[in-house]
Amino acid sequence: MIDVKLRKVLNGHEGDLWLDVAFQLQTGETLALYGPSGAGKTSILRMVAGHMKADGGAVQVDSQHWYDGSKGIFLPARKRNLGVVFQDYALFPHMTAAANIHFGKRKNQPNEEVDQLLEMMELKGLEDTYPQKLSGGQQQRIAIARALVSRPSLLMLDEPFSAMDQALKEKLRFMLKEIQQKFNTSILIVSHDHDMISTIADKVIVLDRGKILKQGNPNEILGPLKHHQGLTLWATVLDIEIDQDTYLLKLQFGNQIIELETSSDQAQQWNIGDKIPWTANA
Amino acid sequence: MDWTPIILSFQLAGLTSVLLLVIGIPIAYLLAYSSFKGKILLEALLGMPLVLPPTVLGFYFLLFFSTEGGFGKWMHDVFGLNLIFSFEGLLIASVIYSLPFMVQPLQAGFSSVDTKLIEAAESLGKGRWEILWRVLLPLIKPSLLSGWVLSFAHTIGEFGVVLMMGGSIPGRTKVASIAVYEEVEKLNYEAAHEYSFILFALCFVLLLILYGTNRSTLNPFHK
Repeated sequence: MIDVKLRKVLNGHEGDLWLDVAFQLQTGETLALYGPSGAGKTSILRMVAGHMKADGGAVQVDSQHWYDGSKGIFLPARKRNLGVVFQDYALFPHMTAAANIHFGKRKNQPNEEVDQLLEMMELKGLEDTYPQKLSGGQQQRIAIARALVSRPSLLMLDEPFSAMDQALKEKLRFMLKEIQQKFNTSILIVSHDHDMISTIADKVIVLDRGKILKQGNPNEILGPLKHHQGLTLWATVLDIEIDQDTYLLKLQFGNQIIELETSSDQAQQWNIGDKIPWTANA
Repeated sequence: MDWTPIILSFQLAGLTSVLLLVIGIPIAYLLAYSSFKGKILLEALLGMPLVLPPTVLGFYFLLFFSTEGGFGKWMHDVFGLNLIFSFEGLLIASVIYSLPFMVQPLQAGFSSVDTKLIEAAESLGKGRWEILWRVLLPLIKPSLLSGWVLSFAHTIGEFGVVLMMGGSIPGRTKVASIAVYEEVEKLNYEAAHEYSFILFALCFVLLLILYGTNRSTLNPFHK
């Protein structure tokens, strides 16, 4: 479990901002920090990462203290077992895609783990390409692979959905779910993308001017998806059955269970336990 | 024609620029990434050779390196080295004289690296040394090249400091620039022209080779 309590006076364009937050993140959970620009989302991420020092508070991951203002503990960023995916990806421009990922490896970690990540992130064939030659989506996948290679207990992503079209967002959402299932990594996302938070996060914290306004289940806190007009129902994937070329999705709407035949492309987007929005246009 | 002054000039410039790389990297790193009391003082002091007349520097080196007292006496007593009118003394003076030509490009290079890249490397568990070797130095290759070329060229062109500190001892301190001056003084324009032209041509070819072969270094990520 990750326990975060942070206090910090931030100097912004509109004067000092008093940031004061406390929240918890369970192992394997996805938590989204949601709020307008200047709410303090990225500063929280930087303080958890150890790139910015808080004025007070504590960050504890399981039994390890990363920061404790009252005891003068400040674990340097390099000693915190976490992965950070920066908004602009921060890939090393003098290293190829593969070299960027290898850079994140721990000592004596086998190269096969890099190969596995390259495959998982659909980066095979791009190993020897420099980041500048790659698309934004490909660069982001390298950044995620690089952040994951050392198997961190916490993966943090700063505005991962900005400047992405819907198809890329869906792809990233699918990959993050896969990562979580495979590595049981806790994920902390900073975003102001209402719709993506609703579909990906287990919990959301709404921030404004450095304070938590509310927190809880994204659908309860943020309401229905914004980009759908009409009535939206949420279905939970209970099972995916494969019978030769036929894919059968077993979905639960409230207390109703239905079975739906679908294509392999569609079926591969979902995992058991996922929540899928179903919209009826008025 | 005596080639010794030309060879001596290149030996001095080569050694000076290599020593400056070793000394300049930590100084530039410190200035780029640290804030400490007296930083402005240190920056101003390091920049002094840019503005001071070389003869003023040479004069103070002469006093400082003299075996009569201070650093020169200590070097003489401990290592048996006489820094005045010696190649070793000339080398130390050249390192100090050309220090800003190495430090300033490197400091600018370090400062231009996106701090996100350093933070990314830190979050991947890397320490300062590893970040310096694997991230920062490869990224500032153009600055390293500029610093090396500038300090090399500046040392080749050294005159006032050499004259004050080293005099003109053949094979020890008589570098090409001094040889040109002496030949002109003797009205031996032919020999002065030979030294000058060789110096001009060698420096020009050196710069051509460096800039030509390192074009990919200057634009390293557009392969």
